[in-house]
Amino acid sequence: MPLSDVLDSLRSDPDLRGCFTAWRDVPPAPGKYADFPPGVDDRLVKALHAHGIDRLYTHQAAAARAALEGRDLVVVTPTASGKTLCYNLPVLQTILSNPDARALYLFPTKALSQDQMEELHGLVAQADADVKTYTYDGDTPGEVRRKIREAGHVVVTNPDMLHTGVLPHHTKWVKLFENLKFVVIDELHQYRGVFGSHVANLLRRLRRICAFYGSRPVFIACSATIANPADLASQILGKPVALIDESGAPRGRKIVAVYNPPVVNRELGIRQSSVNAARVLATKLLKSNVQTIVFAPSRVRVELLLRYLRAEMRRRPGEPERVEGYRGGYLPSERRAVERGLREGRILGVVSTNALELGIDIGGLDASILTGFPGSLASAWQQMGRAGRRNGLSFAVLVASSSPLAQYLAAHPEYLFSTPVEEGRIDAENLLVRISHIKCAAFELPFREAEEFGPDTRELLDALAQENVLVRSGGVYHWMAEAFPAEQVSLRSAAIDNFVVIEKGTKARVIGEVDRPSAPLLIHDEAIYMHGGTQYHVDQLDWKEKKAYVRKVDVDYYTDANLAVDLEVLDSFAREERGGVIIEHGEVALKWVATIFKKLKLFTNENVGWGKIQLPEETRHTTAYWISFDEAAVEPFPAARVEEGLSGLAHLLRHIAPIFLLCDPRDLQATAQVRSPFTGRPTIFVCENHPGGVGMARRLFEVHDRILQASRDVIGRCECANGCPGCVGPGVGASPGNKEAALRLLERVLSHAPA
Amino acid sequence: MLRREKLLEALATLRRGEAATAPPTPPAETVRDTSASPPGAEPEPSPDGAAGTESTAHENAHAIAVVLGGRWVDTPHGPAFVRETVWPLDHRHGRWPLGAPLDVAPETLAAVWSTAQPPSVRRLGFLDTETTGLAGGTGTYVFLAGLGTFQDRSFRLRQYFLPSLDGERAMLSLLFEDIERLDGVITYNGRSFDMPLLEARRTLSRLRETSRDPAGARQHHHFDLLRAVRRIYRHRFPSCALIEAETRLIGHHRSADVAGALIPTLYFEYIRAGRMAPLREVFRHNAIDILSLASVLAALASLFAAAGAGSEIAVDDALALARWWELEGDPRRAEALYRSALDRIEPQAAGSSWLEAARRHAAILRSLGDRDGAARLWARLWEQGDLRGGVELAKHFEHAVRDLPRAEAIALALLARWPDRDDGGRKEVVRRLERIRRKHERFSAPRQAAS
Repeated sequence: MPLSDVLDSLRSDPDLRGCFTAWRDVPPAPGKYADFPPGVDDRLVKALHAHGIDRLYTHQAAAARAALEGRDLVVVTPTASGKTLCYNLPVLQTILSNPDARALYLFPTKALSQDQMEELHGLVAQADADVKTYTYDGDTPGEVRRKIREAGHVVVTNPDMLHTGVLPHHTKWVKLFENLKFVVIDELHQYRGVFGSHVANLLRRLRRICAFYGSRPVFIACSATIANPADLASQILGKPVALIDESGAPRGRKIVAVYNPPVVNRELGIRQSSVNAARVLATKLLKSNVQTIVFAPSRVRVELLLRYLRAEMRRRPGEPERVEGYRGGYLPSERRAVERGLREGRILGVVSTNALELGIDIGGLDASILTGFPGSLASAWQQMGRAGRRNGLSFAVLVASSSPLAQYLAAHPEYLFSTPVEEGRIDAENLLVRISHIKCAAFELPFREAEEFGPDTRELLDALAQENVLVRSGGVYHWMAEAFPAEQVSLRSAAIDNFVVIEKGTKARVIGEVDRPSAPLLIHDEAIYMHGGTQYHVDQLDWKEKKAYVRKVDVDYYTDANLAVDLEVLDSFAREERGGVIIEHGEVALKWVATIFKKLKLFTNENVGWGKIQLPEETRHTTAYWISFDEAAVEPFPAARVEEGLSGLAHLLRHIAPIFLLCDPRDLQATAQVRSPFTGRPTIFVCENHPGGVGMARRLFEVHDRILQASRDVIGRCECANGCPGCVGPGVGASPGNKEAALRLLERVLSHAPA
Repeated sequence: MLRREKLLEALATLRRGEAATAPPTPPAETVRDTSASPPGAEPEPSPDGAAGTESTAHENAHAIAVVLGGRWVDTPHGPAFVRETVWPLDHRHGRWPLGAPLDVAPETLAAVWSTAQPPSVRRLGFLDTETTGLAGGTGTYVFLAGLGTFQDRSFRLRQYFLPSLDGERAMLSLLFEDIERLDGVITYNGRSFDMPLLEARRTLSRLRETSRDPAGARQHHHFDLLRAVRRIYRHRFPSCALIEAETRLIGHHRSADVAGALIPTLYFEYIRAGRMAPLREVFRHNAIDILSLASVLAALASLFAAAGAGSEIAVDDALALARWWELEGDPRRAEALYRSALDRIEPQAAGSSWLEAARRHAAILRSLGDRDGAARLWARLWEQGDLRGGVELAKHFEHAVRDLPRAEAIALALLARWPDRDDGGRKEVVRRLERIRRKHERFSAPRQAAS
């Protein structure tokens, strides 16, 4: 059935039609094309012809031309608009005309860099060119590494590996650094907040080393749609860049809808779960042969949906599965197979985490279903962008979950369409981050005293000399310590090491991986670990060795683990009292431990048992800022309102503070406690997510009046009735007063502010 | 002028005095040129003046020469500091005289180094470095490198010291000039540590045409003694660190040696606070390392020579060398050594290496075409209850001898003894048994029909 008919039937279906709270028709746009830039190697042109590319989109031509002219640039275009050619073309062209030329590709994750290799390999093979492309990461075997360092034309890696594995050993990479012509930074929008600040400093180190070897590479960045791509790129790259943001790729007509699942219990106001709603919609699309991607917010939900959809799409015996799963933790070969299957149309449906939100080439699909709001508008548009045909209709729908945010969007879909996507912010000059990288940089090459690495470099170098890490000799600062500084600096807030999942048997085999933060929830003893729709029982989790031993089972339940999170104040560094309100910042310990798991029946979610999880508690020390209120401040409100006011204020601070702190909301977490064990009073905490903190809590304490005033202005100016994502957050249910409660609390703090 | 000379004298006196009370420095035959003038320096000879401050080391040049006992050498990249020590060839380090490596036959050296045409030991240098850490990477400095070479009638150690951080090019240029005059170097773990680090320092000092370097016109050898020590002693030594090889292989016991972990700190203290005297301990430590390299080479060579000459060597050594020749692809030498060792091992002794050795020996015999010899060993292994020996014996009777009843009997016995947990192995024995029986039927069936 053609998609237009399927959509008509969806809209006229009496069970569904009332649930669509928005149905926008986005008109098609024709493609804009350009010729290959002059002088492009015939072999490359032929290889592209073989890939069905006879001419370029305007943005590809513009990017290639700018890069070949030596200009740094950032390309911002929608999903599946041929973005990778924007850098592969100038890079391959340069290497074909100069076999000594080298390029470095940076992808934010290991998985992504491996994903990207296939396309490049294909192009190189077609061109019949001697261009060696390699992935260099933690998994690269030792004997291959030497070869890559010597002979790799294109080295694909990630920031963490560049940070600990390449730059501190740059003398082994002489060939690369002497001949480095291009640095490609894909998925630039991922480098926001503290992670982005780290990467900006990492690139400063890279440029220093290039300068040492006499190279001056051109930087090509690619970003998904964010509010300020050129600005973010120039901050990360440390110099102004050309912006290429007009896509020449043709776009078919597209329907974008918002779906609020039907109410299934009138008295309690409970709606059908977003997973079940997504399943209903996906089934209708898949059964009509509409190639569909379903995004789910967690790995467990991906696996559940996969199982449900496979049950719906029951095959005739011997027929291959037509619905697949895709998420982090699948083996690279499994992921490649799904990507290929999608491109070739063999796979009709895929259920994925946000792993497929990134720039992996799976071609355009007919329909995209978002199970719940993915957390940011930028993500939502990226995921919806997976549906899109060059010509012909496509369909994207956001299925609201029961979260207040998703419910708000369902009730006010215009918010989704009219609000600009988020900004990417970094603070390359963050002192702690910068000092960390100055240490790494000094380890890599001694600092000349006039050299700059952000402002006041000289003072920092002197301080490090005082600390006995550097020694100044003849106007040069040398690293003079036994430590390997890069290993003491983590670019990310979460550890990136993985647990492996091993299926037992005569020939034990690794079936997948689980990242460390998720391991206690997904592969604890007795968990049902689901992988590609298959169930495995975890017989034993070896926490120390990071291995889970599993065996295949077929049971009618899945497991869902519970995580208990706690915040403990360890020390208060400074304190300010105003009226009855006390504001402090200090050191806190965030603690989390998986406590119990429930066994939930497939399809019905009926609780059929539970068990305890015996795993060590994990702790992260970091810094926090907190405000505690006196009784007088909360007296006018009933208890429930106090909690709402505090949560509202917490939501507000978490979203307003990053603007002033130059970070990303995901760098912070905000918690409201009606009675904090530490202060004994109603308190809101804003904690840094980076281990140890990078000084943002202190900064927040220093400039909080500006932030609190800005917060008050936001509430005052917001036209919503009871709170919305843009101010204090949507309230739970329809309580009219949480905006007012938050405002009253704010006024209480501000009324005693120093003039 | 007078003041300076007096001071120098006083310092020299002090040094001698300290040498007498402090742990003895390596038994130096001669220490040359300690009073040579540093080029272009106007020193304030205070031995503990800070070397790393803006006043730079040059002002301390005299003090360095005096306290550390060396001389300044001009290089195109500035002055470099070298300390030279000479020992007679009969100086004993552990059980060996220093000159012992000179007497090693070329074929023995060829064996130790797994190379067809070993250069003369006289054309090689023993190299070891002291560094600011073990982390590797570009932020680790080599602050002392020792290069020991055989001279006419002596063993000469030159120690190249980094007196200040801006003196690295001078130091490295001198060191590499000397290294490149040789045909190669002998190190201990130098393949993964010392040489890569020195190469990194050289690149950082821009002392070569970096990537366009055609890897040297003539072949420069690097023999890492750790490779041989590891292969031969890995299972017998608690570790293969040089200090372990020293005590166990050459019978040298370091007395009052500075702890290796402390060495970076001593250099940091010198660079930051100018504390120079403690570095003498590091020079000494480095000197012992170099002398030990020569003796370890002598020890290894004597083992290879004894084995090569057919002398009876210790069982463990014979087994280790047998394995060595196996890895080197010389099964005949390996076979002879296994044979000589197996005769002397008691199969039943606790922790006996007999089992493993017998298995390997049998495998080699088979590969050399001596099936009967192999079968005898498998039979003995099987007698000792070795299942793998049994499997091989069953194969032997099935394929080589074609004694199917005996093959069947062994397979049955194997099945009875096979552990339950090894399901895969068990299934294989079952398959073997079935195949033997099928063959048996095929061979015997026509006869029955004929009778």
